Amino acid sequence: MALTDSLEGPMADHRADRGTRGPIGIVPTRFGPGVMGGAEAVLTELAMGLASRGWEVDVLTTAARDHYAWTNEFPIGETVVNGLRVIRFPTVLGDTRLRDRLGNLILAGADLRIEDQYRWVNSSVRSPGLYAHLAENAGRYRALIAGPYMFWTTLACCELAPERTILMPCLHDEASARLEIFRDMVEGCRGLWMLSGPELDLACRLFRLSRVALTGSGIEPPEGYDPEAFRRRYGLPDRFALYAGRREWGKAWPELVGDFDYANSVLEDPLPLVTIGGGDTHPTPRAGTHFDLGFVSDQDRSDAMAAASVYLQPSALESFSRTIMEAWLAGTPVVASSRSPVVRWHCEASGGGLLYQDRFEFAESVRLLLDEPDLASTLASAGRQYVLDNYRWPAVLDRMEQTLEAWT
Amino acid sequence: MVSMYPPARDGIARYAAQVVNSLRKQGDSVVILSPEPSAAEHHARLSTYRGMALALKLARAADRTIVEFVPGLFFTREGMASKLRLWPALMTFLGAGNVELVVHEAPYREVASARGPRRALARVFWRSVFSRPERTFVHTGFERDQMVAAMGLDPGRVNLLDHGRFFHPRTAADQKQARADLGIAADEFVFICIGFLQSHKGFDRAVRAMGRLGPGRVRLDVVGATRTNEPTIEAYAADLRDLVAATPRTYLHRGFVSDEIFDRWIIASDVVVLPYRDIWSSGVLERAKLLGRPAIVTAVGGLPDQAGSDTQIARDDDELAAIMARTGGVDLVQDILTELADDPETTPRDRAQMKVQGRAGAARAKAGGLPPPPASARPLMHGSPEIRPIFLPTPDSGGWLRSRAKRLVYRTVRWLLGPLVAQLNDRLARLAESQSELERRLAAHPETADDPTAPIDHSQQP
Repeated sequence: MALTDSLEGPMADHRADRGTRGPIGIVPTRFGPGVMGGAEAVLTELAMGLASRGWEVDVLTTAARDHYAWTNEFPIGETVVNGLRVIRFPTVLGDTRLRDRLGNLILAGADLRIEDQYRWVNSSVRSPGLYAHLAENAGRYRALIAGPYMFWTTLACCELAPERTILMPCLHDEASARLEIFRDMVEGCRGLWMLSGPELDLACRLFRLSRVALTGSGIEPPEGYDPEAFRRRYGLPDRFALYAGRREWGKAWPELVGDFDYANSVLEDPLPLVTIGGGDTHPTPRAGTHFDLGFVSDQDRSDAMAAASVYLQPSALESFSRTIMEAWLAGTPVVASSRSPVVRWHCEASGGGLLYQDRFEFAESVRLLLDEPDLASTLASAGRQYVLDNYRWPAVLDRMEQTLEAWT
Repeated sequence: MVSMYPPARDGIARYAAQVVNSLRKQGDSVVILSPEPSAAEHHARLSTYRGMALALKLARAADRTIVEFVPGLFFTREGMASKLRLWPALMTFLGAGNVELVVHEAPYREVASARGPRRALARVFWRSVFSRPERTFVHTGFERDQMVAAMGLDPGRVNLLDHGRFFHPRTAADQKQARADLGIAADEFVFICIGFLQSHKGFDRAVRAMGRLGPGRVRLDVVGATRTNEPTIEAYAADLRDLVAATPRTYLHRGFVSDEIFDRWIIASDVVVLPYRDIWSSGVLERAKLLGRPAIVTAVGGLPDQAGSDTQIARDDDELAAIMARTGGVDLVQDILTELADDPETTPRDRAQMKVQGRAGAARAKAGGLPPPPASARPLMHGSPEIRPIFLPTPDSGGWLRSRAKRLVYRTVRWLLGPLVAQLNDRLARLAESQSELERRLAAHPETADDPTAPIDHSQQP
């Protein structure tokens, strides 16, 4: 069951048949309907998957829904979401100016002092209530599962109870991954779950690892797709390219807009771009070629993936790239930036996506897939098979359970 | 609670978190104010009037206010000027009627080292600060005596607070489990030094003492991280790493550990060694006592006062080595050499040689030199300097004006020099890796060591 359709209620409704193994505490930064983000989605589905296999699962998280505003939108305290016990704690906003200033120094490769590294993390969104709860209750859990690595909640969990914390770092090759505070966190935790081979390679280059497993992430195929209804509902043309995700520089949105405008300047028929997700839409593609749908339901998202002619993945900072899996599952080929080792790895292993290094290759990739529908179909089929063979939740949960049993 | 608070690499923050946990377990509701953003509910710079106003407001709303005091909590600059500026606000806060000041780092040395009018001013200032709260605590009688002598405090106003009063065991592991987790054989006798790696903790003294122990299944594990990466601390850590590498049976586990893993190391050990050069009082010693592990401490600061029935006190390096040898059930190398020297079958030359080695070992330990490499070791590059990262010096304080000027220069050039230093360190790290790789290959194929043109057998690579 998708979380946007979740059944949320007070603890009194909590089902009596809680799992008998565990208990496991899952510590995402955000959890609940309308929460965007690949890592959050993975942890959500993981929580539900483990619960369905008889593990007693608590979700310990903040009351925030949106990772830009971080306002406490969800009710604080204990609730039940799809049978999971969820305890939410209020967020406290940090000093954005300080965080940006130190963050820029990190990006510039400056050798930041440890005190300043802590200052940087502590100037982000914090949750003292979650910290106090973990300080008191961490020992009650057989294991805590936290991620991604850069969030305050993850650092707090790993510092309080590294001996029982399994970290899903969602690691990217970026300057912050080299900070000493994160090195201690990664090397000191109970074990690591890696989502892809390139992420594991990167972790091996950066850290001394003792317990690590390449678990991957699961993708749950939707019950069905209705692309025609989706097009009608939003008034979209037959052919369009799709981008689903956060529109921010870290996800290479500005580069995508530039490449897309160039492609449309050389294609015979300009191709519209449909975007779903949050973030600032500036810069925007040229007028008349951009349809921004904002946040949509899980079903609309699946239908969008099926309705698109091509799915675009411009980001270099991916630890798994859940959206390309969703596109492949929906039978849509992928055009992706070759700068991401993870996406490159998936595209080469699956045979389901074309890689581009610059706007010229981007434009030609799109043109080729539009001009040769059979080729597009062949790529999409290969991608779908790749996802079904490797990233179904039962297989992923098997791997995660093996390590849970072995490490905890 | 007014204190440094986690997440932070800070011993007082860790102590405060344990006090908070303990109070909450008793059913108390605790609100925390920290000088930096942290897991505390409130944060404010306590070196400002605004911060002090928040502290006062929270104190007035509380039944009890505990301040885990180190000078840096309120005073971010050295020198008396900034202290005097904050003095009225600090006195108002401390006089709120319910404030308990737990002094972790009493500035008695600062007072004692000042001269003339400065000394008188510092004495009056600190006496007023420590006399103002409802109650003031220190952890050892030594600290109380020092404060009373340096500041002219009324001894009756300074109370003793058991350092480990709020400590609880954080691991359920027994020694067998702990050793299995940490990769230590069950039959070894294990000394540990645990805590931040910095000169005043003196972990190098314990490593050098290990170098003076004779054969036997004893080992020393040094566990800890650098608290900051200031050049002097990084340099100390690098020296310690070299010393450990050159000293058999010693191991450095560098990294910041949680309370649970901290306790697991103590449980895994047979004896906790605190070879400190300087300290006020020690949380590590309290944790060792709590977990039932004997300790060896040096006679500095409040450590002798804190010593339990299982604590042995060493007055100098010779005594430290002797106690470690005795406790670990091994002989000192110098004693073994003396015995051999007395053996009638030993030739006069060998006897003289042993004497030289025995004396040199003790002298080297005192001078802080590295042990000589084993005879089998072959240097890779004769005379090549060790490759270490470089660091931008931090603007160390030196009076208000100098400190400001240094910080200004630091901030002005850091954006430019920081990335350059990072790039240089990246290349140095690669160079060091290459050197290690070459050493490894030479070790695997010593016959080619002197022949740089000899082919390398890649099948031997891991």
